[in-house]
Amino acid sequence: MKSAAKRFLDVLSSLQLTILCLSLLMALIVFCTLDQVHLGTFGAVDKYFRHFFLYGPSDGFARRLPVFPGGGMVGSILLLNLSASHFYRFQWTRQKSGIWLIHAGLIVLVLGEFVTGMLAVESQMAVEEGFSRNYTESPRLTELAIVDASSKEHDEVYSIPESILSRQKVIRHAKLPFSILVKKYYENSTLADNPGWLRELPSLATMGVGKKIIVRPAAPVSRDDEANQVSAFVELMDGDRSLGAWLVSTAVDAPQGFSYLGVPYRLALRHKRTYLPFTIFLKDFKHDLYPGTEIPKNFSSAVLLTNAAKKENREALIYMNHPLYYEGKTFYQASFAKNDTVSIFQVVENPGWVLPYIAFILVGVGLLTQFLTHLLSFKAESNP
Amino acid sequence: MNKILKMALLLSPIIFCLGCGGDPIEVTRVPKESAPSESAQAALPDAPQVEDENSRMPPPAATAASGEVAWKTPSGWKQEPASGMRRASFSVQGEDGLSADVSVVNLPGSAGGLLQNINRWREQIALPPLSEKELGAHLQRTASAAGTVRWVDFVSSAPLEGKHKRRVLAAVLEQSGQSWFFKMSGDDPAVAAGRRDFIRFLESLRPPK
Repeated sequence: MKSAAKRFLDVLSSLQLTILCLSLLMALIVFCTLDQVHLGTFGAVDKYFRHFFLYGPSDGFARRLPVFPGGGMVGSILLLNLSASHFYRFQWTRQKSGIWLIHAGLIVLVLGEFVTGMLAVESQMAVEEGFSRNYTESPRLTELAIVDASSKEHDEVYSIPESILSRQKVIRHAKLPFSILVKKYYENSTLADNPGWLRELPSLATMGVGKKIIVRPAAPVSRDDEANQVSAFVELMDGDRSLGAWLVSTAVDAPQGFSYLGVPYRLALRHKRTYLPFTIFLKDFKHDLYPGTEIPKNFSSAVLLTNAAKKENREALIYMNHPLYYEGKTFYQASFAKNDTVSIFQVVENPGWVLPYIAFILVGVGLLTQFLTHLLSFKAESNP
Repeated sequence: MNKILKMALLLSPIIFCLGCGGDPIEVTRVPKESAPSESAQAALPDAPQVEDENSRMPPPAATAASGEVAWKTPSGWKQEPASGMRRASFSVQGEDGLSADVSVVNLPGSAGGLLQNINRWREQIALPPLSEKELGAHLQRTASAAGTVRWVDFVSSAPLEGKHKRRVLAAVLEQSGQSWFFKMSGDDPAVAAGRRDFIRFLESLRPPK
């Protein structure tokens, strides 16, 4: 009688499980492709491949129930299945070396997707000619930033991600003298002026611009050409004492200032920033057209990269298909604005970028080895 | 296949946990960023402990209005500065030193809906709210080049301040996805005297060019 561990390994390394996983992945690809019409590329990939389950519609009471395995789940099982069969089922012989390589390639490919899904970060940097930037901004993620501006040399930025803002009622940090009470959070919203005489939906804000603004909830969007306007009413509390309630929103351009216990603070809900240990100064942005037409020929940005810690100062020209690589980040020329005076870079950081290349090489070499091994043995058998 | 399902169920909690874990609050020390409000803040030593600075903040980006509805201002209406959210503001002098206030405000969309707005105006003069059914009996309509204007005329059941009852004449025009609100309010005799001008004002409304 087989032991439980052996039965477990038999199933885990079975070909049936591989086929089941591949079938589920194919089904997910079909669902994801069809749903892109409604959700956009990012939204659909996130829903079908970046989670462990697909969830059914909410019944209004309990949490939404998982109805189908998501890409994360199927990929994890496939990875375990491939690894188990690789080390448990296959024996290392010269005849099987091609299969080994193909399997190793597939494992690296699945791992590469995990690394990309978990660690890859895409953000943007918009720099105006004659100015420099030391941070990138996420086009999709937002944060509640509380900036302690008391020092003359630097700012202390407390960055509260939207995932906390949307979930937690009270947010505390040991270094902040107040807690943040989230009175209302809107994943997407529209803002309008509130005339006092209309007494339209009295604002929850007692301080700042929000006193005069009406916030209405809107259905969240995820299409590529749309963005959610995240808003929240937050009340700052020192114990039981309220310091005031503010409306914070990605639609409010400037941070709102206040001071407490003599410390000046700024408060803003903004696109999530990632600060860099270097700065990019935009010297010149060029937008060339084909002569006599309005058809763009070339976009290019002449930048000066300064890394004070490394005492590095280098110039670079970023243009189409010619990005700047620096400290694991790739700066692509993506867009421009403000009458060609602002250059926008897409900044990609993907620690797993090399893994798909390794995977393809392994699979390619494996297929070739397998083919040649069979060809040679067939030849040997036919010529005894 | 049954075995495979069992296996998947067995593995799922482990795999699920791998995906858990929230983003923490990050604290970053960054080079000073110039903020326009900082110098103003430093100049207020006697300010209360929590000081709000946002009267100086720019309005939200989402509130830009497109075209403006135009009108002919009746003679006798005195143009006042359009403060706050008002697109225009007028004062109307009546007899015995009484006066009425006229305001023009526009908001995107339906701005909460007609019934809600009308009930808010009624609340301002201590009248009970109307139901959807009752609303029809109070609504009046006036045609203008900008479209049909729906308006109401309410008088408080008793004086609220002073010796006169309060009266509200308020109109709504929906134009190009925006709601325009025109309101005359004040002591009943002053609003009653200005009622005809207010209706002429509504009739003179023209769509944005």
